[in-house]
Amino acid sequence: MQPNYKNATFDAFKNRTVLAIVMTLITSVVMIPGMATYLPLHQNDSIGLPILFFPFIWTALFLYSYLARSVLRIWLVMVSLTLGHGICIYFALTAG
Amino acid sequence: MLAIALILVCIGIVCLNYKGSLAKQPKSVLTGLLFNLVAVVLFCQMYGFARGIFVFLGAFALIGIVVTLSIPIIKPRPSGAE
Amino acid sequence: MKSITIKKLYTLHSWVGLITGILLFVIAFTGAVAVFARPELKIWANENLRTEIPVQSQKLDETIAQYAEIVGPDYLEEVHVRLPSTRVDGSARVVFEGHFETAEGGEEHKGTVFQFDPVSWELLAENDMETFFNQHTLDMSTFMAHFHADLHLGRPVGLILTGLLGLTLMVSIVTGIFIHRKILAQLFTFRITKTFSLMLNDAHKLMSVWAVLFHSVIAFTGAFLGLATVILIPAAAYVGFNGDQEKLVETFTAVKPPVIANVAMPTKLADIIDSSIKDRPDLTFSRFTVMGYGDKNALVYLSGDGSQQLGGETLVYRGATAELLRTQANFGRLEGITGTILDAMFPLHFGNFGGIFVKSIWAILGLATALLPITGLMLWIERGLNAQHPAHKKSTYENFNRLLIGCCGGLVLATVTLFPAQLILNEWMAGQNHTDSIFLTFFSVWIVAILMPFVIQQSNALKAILLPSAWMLILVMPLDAILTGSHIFNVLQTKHYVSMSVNLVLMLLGILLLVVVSKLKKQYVNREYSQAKNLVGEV
Repeated sequence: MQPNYKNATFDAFKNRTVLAIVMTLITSVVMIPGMATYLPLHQNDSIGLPILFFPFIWTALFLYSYLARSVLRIWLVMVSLTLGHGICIYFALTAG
Repeated sequence: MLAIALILVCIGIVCLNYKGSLAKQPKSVLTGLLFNLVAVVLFCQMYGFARGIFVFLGAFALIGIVVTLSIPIIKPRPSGAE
Repeated sequence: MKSITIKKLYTLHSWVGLITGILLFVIAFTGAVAVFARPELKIWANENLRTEIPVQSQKLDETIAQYAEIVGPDYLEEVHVRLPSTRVDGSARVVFEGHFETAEGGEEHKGTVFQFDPVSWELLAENDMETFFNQHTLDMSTFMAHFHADLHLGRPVGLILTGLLGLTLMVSIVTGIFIHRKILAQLFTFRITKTFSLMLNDAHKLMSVWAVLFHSVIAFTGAFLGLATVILIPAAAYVGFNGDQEKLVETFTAVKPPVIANVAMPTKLADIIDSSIKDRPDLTFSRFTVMGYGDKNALVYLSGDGSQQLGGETLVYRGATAELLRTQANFGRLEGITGTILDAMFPLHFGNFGGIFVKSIWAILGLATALLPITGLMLWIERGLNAQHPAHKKSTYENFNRLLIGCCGGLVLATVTLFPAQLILNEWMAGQNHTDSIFLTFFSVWIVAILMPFVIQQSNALKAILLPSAWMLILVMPLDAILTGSHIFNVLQTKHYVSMSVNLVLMLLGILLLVVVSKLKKQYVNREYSQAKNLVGEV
């Protein structure tokens, strides 16, 4: 019999994969302009550093999607990061 | 100067080798680090600080791979030895 | 670290490698070749670039003045010139660009691109900017560079794909570091006399550990370069500049427009170029931009590589008086740390910050990056084939092995084929666009090579891919001598030093590949013998 390799190591494998592939990209992309609104740095760094951080943010979130114990917690973290930064973007744009 | 720097990196890496592992004896480690440190200084002298550091890192990686690959050719282990 | 976490990381490392391994090889291998795309392979592929090209500042000055009158004052806001002396392009290029208001109140950039013969400065072609930048005239050197950048899938798909591969390489590196934490204990271990599997294991580890910083830098800069223009900059511009990407680029760009005085005064380009070459012999000047050409306040930005700064230097001159105002780094002049990091991104990825020596190191380490997924995948196949209770069917491993041989070996063969193909095209289709022929040659060879292991025996397919590659590499030099008359015995007369060095390196690589093929043959025999022994043991 073939061992079920995926399920033996990861619980909720499909859910985690959706998180790792889709949500990680969305969250990290939203975080870039979002971070630019609150980083207490010179304007160049506030815009430039999040762009440079992107590969690290994406990698960290990708690994977190598979390593964290609770899938619910990963969803919560990703959604709150996305929403939080989305709100920052909204206020930055509406404030003119 | 470039050739000297490369030779120093090479000697430094060989000093760090102890029977296929990273040497644990402080004397070997210190000698290896010292050779590499002098090489860093030479590279920085030639290329400037930022470029020199990256040239050193590249040379260190390349020479490290070449030295490791050539160890079994230069000193073949007796079969059965781990 | 808990064993379950290590197991998870190990599984992730395997799966990421399995899914992206072949594509990662394609990107890394083409990257290793593309390190030399400009100018070495460019010079090799274009006969008119093989001899050194003098700067000819006076001729350049006169030509630009002559064509500035033709295009008219509206197109003199920006004049971009690529100097032919660096031999990175088959022609000298001059772009006259103006900014015009659109009906909607926006701004559009329009201009004319003139291409000149790099030596005689005769006009070769004239196009508007849009046509010029959308046309693709590729020789084998630019073909490889573009293939590495976006797999010829164009923007944004190709760039996103290569950027994502940079990200997955970062995942592989991080997971690899955690699962091989005790690697320092075996830092110098490479066992070739034991099993094939053990040799692969050691090779994978030693190439990954020794060059871990290099792999990390390439992954990070690759991810940035792939994704920056298509995702990251638009996203940042969305908030920082209300979606105005151009404004963001303008903020970060080094070339600022002057306040135009509307007083005509000639821009002293010849004086500027001559004094720059005299005063800064450490720099190799590749291009310059004139903002407000022919105006009293015109500024000239002359860019060069080779100084102690990673990203090169730009000398800023007052155009009318040829007075040096300042020198600046490309982004490093910006306040904050971002500029310094941005300046380092390009040279660290391309390895073009320390001459041919650094380029060679970058190319060889790039090959190590390419070999990482190969050794990893071979290890997975080898372990699967030798396992008593494999996770998958034997045929799965065998088919994966065929795919690996076809895709990766085929890529090497297709790349090598481009060298003789370029020489033959230069001879038989002189003066014509070679782009389609280059595409056809490369992809037809690659497709045939991919199919071959599925049709004939794997070991024969590998031989049929690697042997022609080796012989083609060796035969490039004689073919070049026959077709162009440039050979090692007349190199002092022709002064084709760069192209001859390329030929020599290709020949050495060919000989090396022949040696590897002969070693592989022995390895295959040993491997088949040990597999047969295992089978007998099991029975």
